[in-house]
Amino acid sequence: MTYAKKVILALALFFLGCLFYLAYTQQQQQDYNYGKSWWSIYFADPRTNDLSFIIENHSSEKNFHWEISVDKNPLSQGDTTAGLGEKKKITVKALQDIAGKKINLKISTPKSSKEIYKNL
Amino acid sequence: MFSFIFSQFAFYFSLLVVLFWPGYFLTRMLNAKFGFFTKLEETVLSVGFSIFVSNSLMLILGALQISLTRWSLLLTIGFFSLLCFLLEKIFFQKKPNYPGTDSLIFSKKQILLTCLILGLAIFFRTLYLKDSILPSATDLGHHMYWTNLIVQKGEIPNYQQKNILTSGATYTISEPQNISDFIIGEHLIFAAVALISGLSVISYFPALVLFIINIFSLLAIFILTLRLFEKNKERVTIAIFTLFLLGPLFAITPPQAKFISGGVVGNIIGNLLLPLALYFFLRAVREKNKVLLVLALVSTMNLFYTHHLTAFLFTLSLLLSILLVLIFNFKNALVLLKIWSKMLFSLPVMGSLLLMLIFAFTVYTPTYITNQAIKTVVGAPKKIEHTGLTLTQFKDALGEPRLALAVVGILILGYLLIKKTRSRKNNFTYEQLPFQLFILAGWIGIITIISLFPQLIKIGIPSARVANYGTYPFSITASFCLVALFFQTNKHEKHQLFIKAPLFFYTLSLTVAYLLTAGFFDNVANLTQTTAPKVINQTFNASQFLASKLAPGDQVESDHIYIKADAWTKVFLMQDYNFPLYRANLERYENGIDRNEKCTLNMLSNPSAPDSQKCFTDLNVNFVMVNSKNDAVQFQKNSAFWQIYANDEINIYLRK
Repeated sequence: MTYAKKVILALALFFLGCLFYLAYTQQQQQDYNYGKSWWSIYFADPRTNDLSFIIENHSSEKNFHWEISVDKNPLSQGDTTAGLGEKKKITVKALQDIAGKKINLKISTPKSSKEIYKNL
Repeated sequence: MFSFIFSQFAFYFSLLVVLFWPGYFLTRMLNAKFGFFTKLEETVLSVGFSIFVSNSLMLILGALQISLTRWSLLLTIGFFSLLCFLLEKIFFQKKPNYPGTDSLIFSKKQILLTCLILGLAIFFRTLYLKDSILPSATDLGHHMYWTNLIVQKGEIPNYQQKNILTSGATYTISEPQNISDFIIGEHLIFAAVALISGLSVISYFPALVLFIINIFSLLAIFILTLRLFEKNKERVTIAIFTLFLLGPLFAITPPQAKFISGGVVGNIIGNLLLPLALYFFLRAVREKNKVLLVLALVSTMNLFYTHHLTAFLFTLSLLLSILLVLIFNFKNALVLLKIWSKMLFSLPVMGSLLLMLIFAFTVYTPTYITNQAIKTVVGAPKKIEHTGLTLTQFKDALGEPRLALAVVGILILGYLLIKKTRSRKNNFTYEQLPFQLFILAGWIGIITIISLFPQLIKIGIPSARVANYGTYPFSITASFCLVALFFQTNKHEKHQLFIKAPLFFYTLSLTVAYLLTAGFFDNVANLTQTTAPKVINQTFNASQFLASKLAPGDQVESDHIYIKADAWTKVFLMQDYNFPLYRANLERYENGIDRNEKCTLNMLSNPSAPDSQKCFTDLNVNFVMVNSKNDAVQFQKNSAFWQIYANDEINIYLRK
């Protein structure tokens, strides 16, 4: 192999290495779970009166506490666990006499909390 | 990990098929017949021609109503490549000797230096891209919507979007209306890579394709510089300096790495195709070669099917260059026109032009022609961004040392031009015309005029964008200046330098130190933290939630001001280019040009106002996606909205 070919081949390999590194880095960055610390909550069926909800966990937190309140009055609560990358559905039984009231769902971990609600 | 490795193989295979093989076999066939190109030129031209061939074949498939799939693409591109290969092997075995290809030979040191500079250029870009490789940029999101549409439907897209119409007190969503912002060449190669590799457009591949094209655009400038200064003994040194000024120095500022991660697709591809078009025109005119003129026209067509702004600037640059040649050779203008006419009105050139016209009118016509978009740029500049840059802004766009050296370079080139014109006054020979100087003058002239004084030629295009195009010709001129001052020897090979010892060492050291400090400082300054991946992840997650909950007829309102990577929501939803509706930057509602409705602004800023309520009802906006820190309060106060989704960054509301 000539000198020129060796140098050009080295450059091409370096370029390929950089492309590979960037692709691998991007894969990790796009992975919701790789080194990330966030979670989301949402109603399983947002359009109806069903209050069942889902915790989608992409953090190192495992223990979640949830609390349902009606017009700011606590009604029920519970604890659940969700591992990294898990979508945990919590089924909430149909509540009585809640027409015209704001049903609030507060989900918390030792570090943070989030709320979603429906005005029924 | 296994699936990642497999996706990598699929990605590189698709790159070879779409961006290398068709152009490579075409160039090799041409070279076997005519012997025009060196090995380096062959490699660089392969990418440019591959874009042309892949785009053309996909457009032909689209016109024939043949679905664009992995196999239809592999078969057509594979068949084309095989055809070129067989033609080369069967008919053009003997490589002809063409003058000019042997003079572009590099020494070992020059090869090593060129590769080191390219390695540094790649390194700095990688350093920046590692933090911005996750797709999030607005422009890239827009382009990937159209790419994804081609992938999903397997056909050439109609560039249309639905708009908000106001008639009296009623708001409606229009039927799809034509838009001219996009050109098919910006999306076809990405769609081809996605189809062949099976990769999602929401992945690493769009940025990596742009990265590769950006590196090849540096090489395109390199081969153009070699040809521009073909008759100069220091041609290789000038080309290496040009590569140095464009590659590792100012490696991040536009139009380099920031345009790669920003997804400024047209500019990035345009910056590869424009030098190639100039390369062919220069050689065609200088060598009076009809085949090279055909290739110049093919490259120009490639440009016109990829990016209108680049094509527009290229055309103006070329026209100004031609005008300058005629002015500086006024007495012999008729002779020149005669020579050029002979080339132009020849069978290969006219035949090619006819084929291009047939293609444009029967296979595919670019949207800016069908929509008559040219009218929007002709006339006095209306937008503030179109009214020209200050000298300081122009300097910042080009890089101070590059501009400073280029100004001296322009003076030297101007002096040479006048000197050569005078010396030839009574002794005109076509072969001695310094076409390279006219091309540089036309290129630099047009970019300077449109960037600084757009009113002079009544053109309204973004001045800063145009100034970014200046980095290429200004770098070439700056390199010429460096070589002229420090390395140019006289005709008799004696080292009679412009700047002689003992000043030589100090001035050269100072200049190099100035270049390195400014260029690398700029790199470091731009290596700032970009948006954290977890923020972008959360926009994607919210978009996925929306995509799973939308019912037919639902309209969504989002926000461009506070939501990061919001442009990518449309790629998850794939309903319309203008879906979801979104609150744009506030100045867009005030300049009287961009936004003629206020619904998208009011629905987020003041959702409880009667007019906003009317917007929600009339447009059937049932979902609202906002930043939870900046825009949640106004929705939490209104009982008509249910907060149905929450993460650290985004809340989604359902209107009941």
